[in-house]
Amino acid sequence: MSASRELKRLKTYIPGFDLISNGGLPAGRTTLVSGGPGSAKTILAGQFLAEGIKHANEAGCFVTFEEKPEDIRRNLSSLGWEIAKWEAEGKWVFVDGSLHPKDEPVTIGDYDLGGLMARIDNAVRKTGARRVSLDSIGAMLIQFGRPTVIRRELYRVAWQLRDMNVTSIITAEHAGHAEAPVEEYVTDNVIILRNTLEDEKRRRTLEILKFRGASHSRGEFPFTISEDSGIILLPLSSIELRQKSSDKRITSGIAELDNMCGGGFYRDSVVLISGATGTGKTLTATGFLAALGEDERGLLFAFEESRDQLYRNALGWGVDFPKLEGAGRLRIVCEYPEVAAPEDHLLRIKKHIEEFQPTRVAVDSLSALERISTPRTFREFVLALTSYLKDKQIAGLFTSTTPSLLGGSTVTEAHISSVTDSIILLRYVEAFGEMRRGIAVLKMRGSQHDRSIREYTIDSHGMHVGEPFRSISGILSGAFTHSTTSELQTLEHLFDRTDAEDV
Amino acid sequence: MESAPLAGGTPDVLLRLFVTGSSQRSLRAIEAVEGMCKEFLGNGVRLEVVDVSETPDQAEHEKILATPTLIRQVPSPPRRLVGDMCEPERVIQLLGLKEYVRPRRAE
Repeated sequence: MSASRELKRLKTYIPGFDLISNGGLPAGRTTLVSGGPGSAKTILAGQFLAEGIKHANEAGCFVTFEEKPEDIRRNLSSLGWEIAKWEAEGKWVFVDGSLHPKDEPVTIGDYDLGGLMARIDNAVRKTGARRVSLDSIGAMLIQFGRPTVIRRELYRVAWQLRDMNVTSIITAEHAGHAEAPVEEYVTDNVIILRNTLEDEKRRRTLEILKFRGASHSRGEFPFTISEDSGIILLPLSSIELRQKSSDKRITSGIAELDNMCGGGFYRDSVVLISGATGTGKTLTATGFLAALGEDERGLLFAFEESRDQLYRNALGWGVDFPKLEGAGRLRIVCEYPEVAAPEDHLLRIKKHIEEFQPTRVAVDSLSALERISTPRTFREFVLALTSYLKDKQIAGLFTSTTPSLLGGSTVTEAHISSVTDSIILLRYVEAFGEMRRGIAVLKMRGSQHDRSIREYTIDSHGMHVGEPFRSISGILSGAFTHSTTSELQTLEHLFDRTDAEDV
Repeated sequence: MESAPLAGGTPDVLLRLFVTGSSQRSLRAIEAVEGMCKEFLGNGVRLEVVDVSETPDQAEHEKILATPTLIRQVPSPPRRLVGDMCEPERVIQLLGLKEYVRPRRAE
């Protein structure tokens, strides 16, 4: 036994889990994984073994009480785990505790789980397994129908597994939401899996309820099940926004906008472009990607427009997307937001980023993703994406659509304004019976910026930013008033103050 | 641990009792089942006692979870009972062994 107070950990290699658990599962102990139907308990139990084999060459033993081994082999193999091969190599072994309904035993008098223990012991000895998963207690209770006996016996199983010095997972059904399962008292370590419907959207989370004598992150962590690798946790709250604070600037693609921002965007910053439809958000994103430097690469995630539409738009502004793509400097990914949950989109985005290694990433638009999310998932999505981009020192540009044509702020902004480094507003301005457009830099972290709202125009060469609106106020709120030049000084000061408070 | 077959050749009934080591529960079950065979069942019944901690492969093969487990292996289909078998009449009834019960001598 280790002399240190803090328990030794076994790295699970389940993506994200070791981060939120501060290093993995308590080594040599049993952890109860409790969750409702369809909460991915079996996947977690299997993945615990699979990752051990893949990353640490640690053999594993899967004890199944519910499904037959052949079902588990087949179901889990669809996640890319070569269980049959591992079995042949002696790295994975099943202990089949499932029973045919016709075999259901009748009980007379007292019994224990001696048979099970002997078989687990046997399997662990034969394979040298370091990891054991038991799935699930519920099936066991149904088979034997004597909960008190089974709980007493599980307690013994947990002790025996501890004596064998293996790290184990036992899964258990957990019907309710708040209350802890009885089985919780069997082990010192409890993880809860949840699969809830929130505003008509599925949300999967994992929470470490307790690790006795060991630290871990608190709260629910969203996770997704990737088709080819299983559970992936998105440890959002534990990601620190590491401000590497690069002072290197890059051009936004619009010279005047660079000036407004005090010399361009920061290389590792995330910029939010907010505006109503038709104000030029896609154009800003296009310009941002077209302004790639010598050794730069750009990646565009388009959730609103098709590839052809994007090509056509860009060409209209003098940007040749197909040529950039052909030269390997640009990748465009067009997707319907509805095809996947935000977590899955995040994974896809990350995958593309890892493959393509861009220096600039644009998402057009975030609002499209917001439609398919709950406020909480959306915020988590943006947080995760932002911190990922920052970590990779990639310049990000997100667009967000305001619901109303005039003024107003987007829900998106309310959720994520504190996360992004810069916010640029594109607004319609009604000036003396004419519709014009105004651009303002609302926030520019770590830099001075232009505080005026400037007029801009869009033509076949792109965006052109001109002079500040001098005699109109209320542009941001959409309730315009036209003021005389004499009042101007006062109003500018007023605007400065509200600006500072809003951000 | 294997008790001697009561008769040579293929028995009419083969019972296997799976136990763990020499726990109280195991000993109780062995005693109960052996007693049951002696007291109620005829010569065509054979009993084998299997200690799962010594032959886990056999436990694996029969997919034994709980001990003691008593399996009527012959005639098929097999039937299983779990527990310390403290009620021989119920064991006989549940394993369908009534027809093998030795006719009672007059007291």
